[in-house]
Amino acid sequence: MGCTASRSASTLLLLLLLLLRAERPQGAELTFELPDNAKQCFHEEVEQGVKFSLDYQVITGGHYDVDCYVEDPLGNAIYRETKKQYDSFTHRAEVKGVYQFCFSNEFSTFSHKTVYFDFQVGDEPPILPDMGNRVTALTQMESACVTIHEALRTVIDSQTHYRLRGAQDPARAEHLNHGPGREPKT
Amino acid sequence: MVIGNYRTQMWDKQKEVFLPSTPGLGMHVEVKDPDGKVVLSRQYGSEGRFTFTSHTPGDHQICLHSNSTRMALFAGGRLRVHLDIQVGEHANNYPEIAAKDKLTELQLRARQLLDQVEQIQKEQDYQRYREERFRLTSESTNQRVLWWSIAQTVILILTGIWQMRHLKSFFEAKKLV
Repeated sequence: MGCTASRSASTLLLLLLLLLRAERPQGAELTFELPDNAKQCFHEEVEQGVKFSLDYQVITGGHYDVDCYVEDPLGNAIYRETKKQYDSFTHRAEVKGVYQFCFSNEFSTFSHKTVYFDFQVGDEPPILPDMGNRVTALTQMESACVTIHEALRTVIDSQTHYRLRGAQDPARAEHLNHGPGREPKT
Repeated sequence: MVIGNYRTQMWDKQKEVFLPSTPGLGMHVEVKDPDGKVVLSRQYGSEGRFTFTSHTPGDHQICLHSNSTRMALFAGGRLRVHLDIQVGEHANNYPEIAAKDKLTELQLRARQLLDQVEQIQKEQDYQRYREERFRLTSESTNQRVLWWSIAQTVILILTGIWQMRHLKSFFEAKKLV
């Protein structure tokens, strides 16, 4: 597998691990296709005491619902919801290790779904790697830049959510007009 | 611009761990644009980095599949794929930009803000495009419904006229009228 938004089913079990890169905010945003009767799991390595959050939303398919559960490295389910359209979940990692979160469409017999999720681990790192060793306070200009940066980030995030929430109606209209087989526009 | 990085690790059945690297395993990356046209189709090694720039707004499809069948035999069918996809301003590497353009910290921050604003602008353009597409699609559907109703009405009227004529000639033949 490794196929985001692809129709071919794979018989091999693949563990998808989100890449950790020290110079970027850890985590990932992904939209993938979940075939009917299928389950897709993702894994992420999280340090102890770090807070992580998972936002997900069903974009297209059926009744726009999906099952989701999150497990810690010991196998305990720390979050489990069924038939949710969208939700947000945050958790502080108590155990260091590989956390697993899965989306399941096993209750559906014929509708494949497109699911978006945003998984964020920890805080955003500074723009330059050596800025973390700063001992002096930020100047006014720098503080202003940080404030603007965070405000713009909020704007971008809300644009993303608006785009996803407003995706269903155009997709349905396209489907009605052009028939199935045309990719929906998100 | 979209940058994708991936790394694969094969499962070692005997040692029950993931091997640090996977020599010989290739991954084929294929990217399709919203109209279904293939934008990128390339074979990479077990570790790779691919980039593409979108020219049409909408859903792009990114597919990765391995070309190796021996994975199923030796690895017990398990492959760990590390995947990182950076889109738009997240694809910018700021330490690299600072070094290349010789920017001070403040200039770099300003550049980051400019990139963010550009992304917001692109998103707004996309919303405008999508709204127009939605409107055109709805108008087209509306038009088709209108033609369908007209056609159906015409057929009904013609059927009615034919039935009346047929009945009239039937009754005349039977000498009832």
